[in-house]
Amino acid sequence: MIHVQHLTKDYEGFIAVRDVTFDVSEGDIFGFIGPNGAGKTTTIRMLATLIEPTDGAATIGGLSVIDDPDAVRRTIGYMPDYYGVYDGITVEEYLDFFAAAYDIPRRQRRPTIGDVMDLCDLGNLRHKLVEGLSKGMKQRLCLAKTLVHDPKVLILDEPAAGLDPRARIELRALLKELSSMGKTILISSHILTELSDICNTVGIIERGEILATGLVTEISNKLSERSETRGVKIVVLANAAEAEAILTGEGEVVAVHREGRELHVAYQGDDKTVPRLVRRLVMGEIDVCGVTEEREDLETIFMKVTTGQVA
Amino acid sequence: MSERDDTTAATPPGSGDGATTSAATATAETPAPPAESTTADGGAVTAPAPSAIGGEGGQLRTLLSVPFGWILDDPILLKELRAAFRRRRFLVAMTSLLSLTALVLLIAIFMWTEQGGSNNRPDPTKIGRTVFFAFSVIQAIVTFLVFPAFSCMSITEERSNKSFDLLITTCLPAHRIVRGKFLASFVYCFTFMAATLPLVSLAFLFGGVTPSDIALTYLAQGVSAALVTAFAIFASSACGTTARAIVLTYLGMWPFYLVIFGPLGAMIHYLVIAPLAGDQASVELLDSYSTANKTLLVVGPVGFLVFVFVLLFCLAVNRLKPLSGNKSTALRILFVLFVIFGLAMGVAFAELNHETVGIEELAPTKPTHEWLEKIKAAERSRSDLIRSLFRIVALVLVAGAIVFTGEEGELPRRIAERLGRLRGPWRVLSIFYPGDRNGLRFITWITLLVVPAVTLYSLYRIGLIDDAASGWRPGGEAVAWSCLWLIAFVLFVAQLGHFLSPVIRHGVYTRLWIVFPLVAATIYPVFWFMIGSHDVPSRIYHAYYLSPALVDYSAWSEPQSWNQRSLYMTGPTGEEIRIERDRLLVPEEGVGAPGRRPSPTYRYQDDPRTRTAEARALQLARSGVPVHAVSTLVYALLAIALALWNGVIVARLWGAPPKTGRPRAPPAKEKPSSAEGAAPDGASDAATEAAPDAPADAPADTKPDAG
Repeated sequence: MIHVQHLTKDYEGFIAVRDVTFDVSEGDIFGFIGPNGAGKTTTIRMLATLIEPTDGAATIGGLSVIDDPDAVRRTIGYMPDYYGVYDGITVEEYLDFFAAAYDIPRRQRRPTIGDVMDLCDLGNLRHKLVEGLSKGMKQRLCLAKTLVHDPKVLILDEPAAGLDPRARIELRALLKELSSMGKTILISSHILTELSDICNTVGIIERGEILATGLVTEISNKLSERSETRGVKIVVLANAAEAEAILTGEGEVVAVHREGRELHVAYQGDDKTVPRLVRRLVMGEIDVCGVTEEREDLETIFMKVTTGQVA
Repeated sequence: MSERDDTTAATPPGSGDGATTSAATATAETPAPPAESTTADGGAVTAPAPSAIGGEGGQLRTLLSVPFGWILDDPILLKELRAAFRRRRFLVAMTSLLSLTALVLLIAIFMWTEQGGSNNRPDPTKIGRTVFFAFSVIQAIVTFLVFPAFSCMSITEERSNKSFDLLITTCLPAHRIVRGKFLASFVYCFTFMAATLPLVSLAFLFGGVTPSDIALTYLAQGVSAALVTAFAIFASSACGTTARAIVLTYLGMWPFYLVIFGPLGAMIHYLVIAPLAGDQASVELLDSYSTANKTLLVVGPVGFLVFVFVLLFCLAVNRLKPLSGNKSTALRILFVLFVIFGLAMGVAFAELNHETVGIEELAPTKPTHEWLEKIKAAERSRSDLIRSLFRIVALVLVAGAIVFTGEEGELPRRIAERLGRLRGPWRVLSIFYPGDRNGLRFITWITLLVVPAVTLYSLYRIGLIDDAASGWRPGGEAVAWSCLWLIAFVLFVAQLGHFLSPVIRHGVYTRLWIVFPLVAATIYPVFWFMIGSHDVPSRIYHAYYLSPALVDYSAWSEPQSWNQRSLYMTGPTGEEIRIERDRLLVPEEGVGAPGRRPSPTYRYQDDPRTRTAEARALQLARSGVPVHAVSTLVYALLAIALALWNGVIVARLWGAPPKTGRPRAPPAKEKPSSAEGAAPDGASDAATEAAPDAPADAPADTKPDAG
């Protein structure tokens, strides 16, 4: 649904985004993660047709953001990281304004607005002035505005920034619901826990360059394959201290960390190493209950992939 | 649930995947919306539209929606009005202004009615006129000073509110945003003007003021308000912050007033104020004009103001367009229309000039001295008009050359691709596309079409008037030189812009760098001309040939005496001419006192010898190479040199392959493929992440974003 190829943005010599390439399939929730200043917002603004790329191409739903920005705007719902709401108008009028701005015919606006207010749980606030809403409600309102023209693709830039935990959880639920409705969602954030639950694919960007893209598990696997040190969790029935001592004596084992009956083992070796270690434990009369390869979560991946350098 | 299904059936056709339907279904647990909306709306799909059944304005709205549908359904206008009329600030401001206006009017009425005591009451009609004038002045002050403050915030508020991105990513094009903002701002002003109608009726009660006076005054105030609002909206679109917009509006307004209210003020003065104030001189002057001339007096300023309004509108729209937007075509079309309108008005004024119309037709069978004098005066008048026409054409073309060739050369990719698709004869349309090169072609073609046209008309009308006594150069000669010089000068400015544009790569600075040398070249020689001696031909370092003002003077006027030699580059000095004249005045041998040289001043003017000497002196005073000829040569050579430098020669005037966008960014140093997990190495330091802050008022496209 979203195809980005070699996207570059050059501000008179300062390259904010360089050669960014990624794809987002229909119905996916794509987490666009990176530290502050990495180029997330610039990339998103290019996709939202707010700025034109210096080089490269991007299509959304088959429409080029460069050649056909007007059509792209009808296809996407864009929610910026910072936005304001209009004073002096009610929630319903606010949504009516955007519905009219998206050329929805007058007679279809009210039902459409009713639907999005229901979806975003704003029905009870219909006649409230926008400026009186809480931050979380304003965020919902902006999301409702983003949905008012029923876009196929949602581009959300840091949608959970500044929200309290409850509002974040509600927002996550809402995004999952939108995904289940077939919407393709590109969401950026630097708060990884917020994305780890909902995103099935991610792109990690730093200093304007994409460092890794794909499914979270794929990235984790690839990282593990490349890394010389791998991890495995071994659960024993008893004698964890004795098991720790056995494993520490093995040459391939780099480190052993014991937590109750669980042993987190870092080792350097291949796929045959783990069976060998287990065999050693069994030969040492240690009852092994379970063996699990340890994979990185999104935070670990992010920390491994990025360097934390800023300009 | 059934209600919900009904409502979702009305999902917009563009909803494609019907996701909203699913949305409604998926949220069955959410509280049902108030029945008022779902029920009514659900019915709206199959039942008559809400507007027809009175739900949203009823029949009146339906009737109005035919001609004014675009206004009634303008989302920006509706949103702005809803917000403004709910704001306390607007209510307080409007009430205060109305109270102030009423107070001043009541004081004026009281003072005038009490003047002269109870036995000597002033004429009520005079009171009526005075009150009306006072009202007009107050209304003008409010219109020009108070309401721009509201207007100039309309777009900057969107920016400071961070709602601008939301707005421009909707389907609203930039022109609809500006239109909505303008209409909303104008409505504020219009509301005030409408609210003051009861106050002005007080003046009407005293007499001395006719309804047409009030209507004309309101019309003029409305036009002024529209123009001021357009200027404020332009300032608002051009500035990033409200503070800057306010400063630009209030500082820029004064020169703007001079440009705008010159013609409008003259029109109002002659048509309204003069008759009301009993200004007989103005009334007589107006009466001396023919009906056609009176019409031109209205059509000319109104047309000019319409162009100014559209120009401001286009500029404001351009400021809201992204960098990839086409910001040139509308301005170029407007420029062409303005040139056509200006030429038509110029010709109309020259043809219908009150001093010339009918003079030729009234020729007596035997020309009398009086009739010949009238003819001469008429020709001078027409000559003045044509000279003015040349000056206006020069100003407009030079302004066009600066504006259009100062554009940035790197075309947005979308426009470059469209331009590249032009083939065959359609390629000529490339002159309406953005870019300094297209701007150069545009202004070159316009110059080559307009200037000869004006020249031919001028030669036809001005003839070859040779009225040496008047101090003007023979008409044909002056027109021919003006034509040549104008073409050379405009092409030079255009080539200069095309030369500077790729060097500076910033539209505003490029134009400034064109303007500064031109201003210097205009003023510096004038300074020398004012302090220098007129007795000798000008030196090269005086640079008279660079100044358009002096070239204009040189092209149209001729020396009237031997000591006016400063507008020539070669030839004798004034002193040499005087010696030659005196030599011719020396009496023959034997005349006068023996051994004594008589003073030439003793000679009578009608003496044949004196006439011969003076004629010779005048002939010498007009000999040599004049400044305008040198100037034409200099600018032509400069234009050719720059053209060769720019690589724009005749073949390219037809069109060249478009310059595409910026070349592809240099590829980053080899980096690990995606998902390899390795961090970028130090080679990619160039791609730093924290973007430098762009100016707040820079277009969206120029601002890096911290992502």
